[in-house]
Amino acid sequence: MIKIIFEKDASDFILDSFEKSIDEEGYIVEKNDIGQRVLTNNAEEIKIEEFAGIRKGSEIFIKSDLSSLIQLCDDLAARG
Amino acid sequence: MSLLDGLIKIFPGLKKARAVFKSFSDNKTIVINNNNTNNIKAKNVVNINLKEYSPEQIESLSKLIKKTFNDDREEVLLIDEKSEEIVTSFGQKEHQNKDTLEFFRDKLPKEDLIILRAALFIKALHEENKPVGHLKYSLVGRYGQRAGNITNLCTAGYYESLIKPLYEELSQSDTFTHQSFLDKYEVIVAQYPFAVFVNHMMSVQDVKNTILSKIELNKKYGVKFLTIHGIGFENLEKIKEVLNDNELLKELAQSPEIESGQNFITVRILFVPIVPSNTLTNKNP
Repeated sequence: MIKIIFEKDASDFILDSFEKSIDEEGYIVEKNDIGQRVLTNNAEEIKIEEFAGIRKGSEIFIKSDLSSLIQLCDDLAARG
Repeated sequence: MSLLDGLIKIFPGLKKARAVFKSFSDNKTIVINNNNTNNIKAKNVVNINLKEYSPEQIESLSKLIKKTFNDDREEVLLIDEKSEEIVTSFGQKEHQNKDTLEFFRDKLPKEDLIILRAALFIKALHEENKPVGHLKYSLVGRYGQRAGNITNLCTAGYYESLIKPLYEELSQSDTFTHQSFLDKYEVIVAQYPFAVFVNHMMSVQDVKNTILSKIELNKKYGVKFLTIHGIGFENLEKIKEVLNDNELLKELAQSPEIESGQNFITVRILFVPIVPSNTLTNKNP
């Protein structure tokens, strides 16, 4: 597996790479459609301060709360 | 073009990348930061400090990351530094908790089991004196106050010392049903009548009132003990102050049993349950 770890100050770079930006309320949105907020796989909108990363499966956005990270651990373990 | 070839093409000076990727062929880690103080110093990673490169190089890196991410042959995870630490640490700690989790796997409500997994992780970090307030806060944010109660009970060891023995004892009975356990478990999680967890939001008066109301509740049901838990200097001081309160002292059957360290206190108090009036009559004819 390739793991790309980014420090918080590189979040903008990561989001920019995936053509995302931040709206006025701090939510991550599609750069070419700023009315469209990105969703986690639990259908939750995600604020920049909650942004933990992206994993494959199209683009699955990950929140940084403990429950979401445990779910990520389970998903990674299931993939071996 | 592979990720490695792409990186070396963009950053010719990044000679370390080839050696790192060759040595760690199964797990390749790239760290991207945008400052001059890289926090991750591990040897087996390729560090890219965006500040050191031109806008053209950064643009090329951006495209390379997206292309690698979209390559079906590659498994790619992009994750921020702090979340990565939690994910790595959680995997290790959960292994240590596997006996407890295995015991409760088919016994607790599904959502409580998810919370318990998180709470056991918080407990393990807490025992290493690592900050856990933000983790507990995020758990309560998602699952509500019930998650706070489960975390309190778990951190104080009640899942192993009270809830597990409770299940084991109940299940010995011929009339045992799973629901009978869940009914008792619900009272423990919702009210934890045997314990008070002092937090930073509580004033001294709040602590005192909570203790006295739980004593009253326990006396009603013939329970004669209560354990008070506090973590952090401020909470220790609040508990110490309440322990000198005359209104509380007159409830106690004996001196409190106190176990404390620099940053925590556990106080077990015993009090006299309400004795039914007919018993008093028999003893004092």
